[in-house]
Amino acid sequence: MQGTDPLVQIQNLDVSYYTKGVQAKALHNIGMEILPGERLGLVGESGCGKSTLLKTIMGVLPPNGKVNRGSIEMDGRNLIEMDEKLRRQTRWAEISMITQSALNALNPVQRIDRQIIEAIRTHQAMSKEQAAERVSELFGMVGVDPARARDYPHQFSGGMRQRAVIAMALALSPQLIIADEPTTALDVIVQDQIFSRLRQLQQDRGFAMILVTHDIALVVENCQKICVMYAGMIIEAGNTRDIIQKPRHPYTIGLINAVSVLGSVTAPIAIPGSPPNLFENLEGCRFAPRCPFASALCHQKIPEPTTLENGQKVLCHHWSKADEFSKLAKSPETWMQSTTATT
Amino acid sequence: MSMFWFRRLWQSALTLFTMLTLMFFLFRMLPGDPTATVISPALYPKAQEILRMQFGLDKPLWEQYFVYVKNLSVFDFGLSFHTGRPVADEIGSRLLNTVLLVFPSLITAYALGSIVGAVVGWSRGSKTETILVFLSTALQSAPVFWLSMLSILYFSIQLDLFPIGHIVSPGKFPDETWRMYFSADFLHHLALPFLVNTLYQFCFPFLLMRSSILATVGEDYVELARMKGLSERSVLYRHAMRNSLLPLATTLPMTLGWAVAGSVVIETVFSWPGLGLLMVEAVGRSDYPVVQAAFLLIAVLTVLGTLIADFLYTLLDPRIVNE
Ligand SMILES: Nc1ncnc2c1ncn2[C@@H]1O[C@H](COP(=O)(O)OP(=O)(O)OP(=O)(O)O)[C@@H](O)[C@H]1O
Ligand SMILES: [Mg+2]
Repeated sequence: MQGTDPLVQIQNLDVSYYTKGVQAKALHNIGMEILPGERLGLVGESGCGKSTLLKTIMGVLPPNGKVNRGSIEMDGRNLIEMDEKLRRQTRWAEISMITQSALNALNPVQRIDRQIIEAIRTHQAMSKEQAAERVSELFGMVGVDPARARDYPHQFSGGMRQRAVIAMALALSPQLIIADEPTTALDVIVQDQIFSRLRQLQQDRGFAMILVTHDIALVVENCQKICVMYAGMIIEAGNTRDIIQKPRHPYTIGLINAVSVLGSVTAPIAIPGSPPNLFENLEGCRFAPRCPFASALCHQKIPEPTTLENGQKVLCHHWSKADEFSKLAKSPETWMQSTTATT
Repeated sequence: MSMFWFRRLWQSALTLFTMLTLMFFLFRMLPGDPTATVISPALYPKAQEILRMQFGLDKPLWEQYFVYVKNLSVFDFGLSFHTGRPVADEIGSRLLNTVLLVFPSLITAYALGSIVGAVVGWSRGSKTETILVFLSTALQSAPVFWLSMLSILYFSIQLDLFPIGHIVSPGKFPDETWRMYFSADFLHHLALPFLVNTLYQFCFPFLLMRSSILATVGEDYVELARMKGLSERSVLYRHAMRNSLLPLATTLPMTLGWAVAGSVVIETVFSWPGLGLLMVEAVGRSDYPVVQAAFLLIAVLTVLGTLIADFLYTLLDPRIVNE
């Protein structure tokens, strides 16, 4: 894949929410790229800004959310500065989305086929009959009986609703599909079925995909690349295999530790503490207050992103000591230490 | 017809029956002799007796009640104590006048209220929103009679734009034929009470629509509609507004009876010869047959409105299944 032009390239993106004049810096200096046909996993704790990033890509930030800096490039156009009318044409046709909660994403008082037909006919000159035919085809693709297309959302089970939302996302064959925690509300078996279907569709049709989740195991199973977010920043990114084997950021090390099947520890260790309040003026590394390896420097200065030979990017002053950290991190005592510990 | 609707109809009938029974006895428990206006005490006792018999007032109360119910079942509402004419005739023409005043203004108010409420709620925090919300909250709590009198003072007396009251100019249509409703004179008389009533009725749907739109703005399906690439206007009309219309569409039929009953005030101020004014007059004269029939009519409208609301709900919201 090396050498291909990225499908979407995000650079230096800053996004803030303003509530009663108070600024919450939800995204800070985000940079990432997605190659055509690539599956990228975006992981991070609840509230770290995953949905904010996706909404910025889709251009549907709420009125109090503002992009203060940066660009999102696709096919040589900067989506941020695009005229609203042109921007609208790119939505769904070029980037579509499988939303966090399929139950609420479907309009409860409209038939499902009508909602998909609406998406199709907004972008393509197609008769209602043709569009309805397309819906049947899409339902077949995601594994729902096309005869059910005229049902209302409440007549579908959770898994079927999620499949219907996936069908809607595929409707215009976009180059990029963003899936925001697509299976959180579903049981494990249905979750597996949906992911295998999604993977198969992705391989058949070759769209790129961003999978957003707080479940790192899902990313390992489904994505070639991974971006780890913490408090509005991407603190580590690269090939999934590289990062699982050699995480360079203490937060990633902690995340992997927290999943017993991935880390070589016997019992999972949760990272103590909670993410910083985004309303505060944040100085230094945002993870420093929770980091057992933080130094004085970490509390003062935001680290610059470093790119390693294998393309792995890391945002840590002390990334070179990661092997040592990894060893220490396996013992629960390390995480219990006072947060002022220095290296 | 499903079990649900059968049960609902049966309940409605029971409600109406209870209502008319209560009304019958309540009115007769009130002090004052209703016969005084028809049967002059100056008549010979024998003549009084004969008149009482004609109206059936010499029979015991329970027998009067059975006769009343029996007559109602064939839509015979009896004779007015005051005029001696059949109640149905008495009420019929008055009801038409009320309907001509109330229904168009109710529909205008709901149509305008929902559109303005939706647009204003959608662009939350605008100056227009603040002003309109303030005005309609104030207007809603202002007494209608005061509003009506102010409007007469200003538009009719000061500016001399509209007549001061009544349905047509006096003497213009001496025999009150249907022709009068198609005259410009009628519209001229209708205009001011219509405007006042519309303005007053506008507040509720406006405030309701605005708040239900506000609740929809953050819904996931609204965001999805936007992500699908729909224009802001389509998102508003096809998704946000369509769904926020639910509470409104169902309160409209329920307010029908209420609006007719509420026309009492506006009809009194504008001397509008409608059902409301008739009720005020009839209560003053203890003309029970007329009062009972008018109240029954309002009860029927209310019960019917509730049934329509139920029906609209099942029609508009597929999630509601009545079994
Ligand atoms: N409309 C808003 N106004 C103000 N703050 C907001 C708004 N939306 C989100 N935030 C804040 O921005 C931060 C990022 O939120 P976001 O929804 O992007 O998190 P997330 O990573 O998607 O979380 P989750 O895993 O729970 O979905 C949070 O601190 C949240 O409180
Ligand atoms: Mg989220």
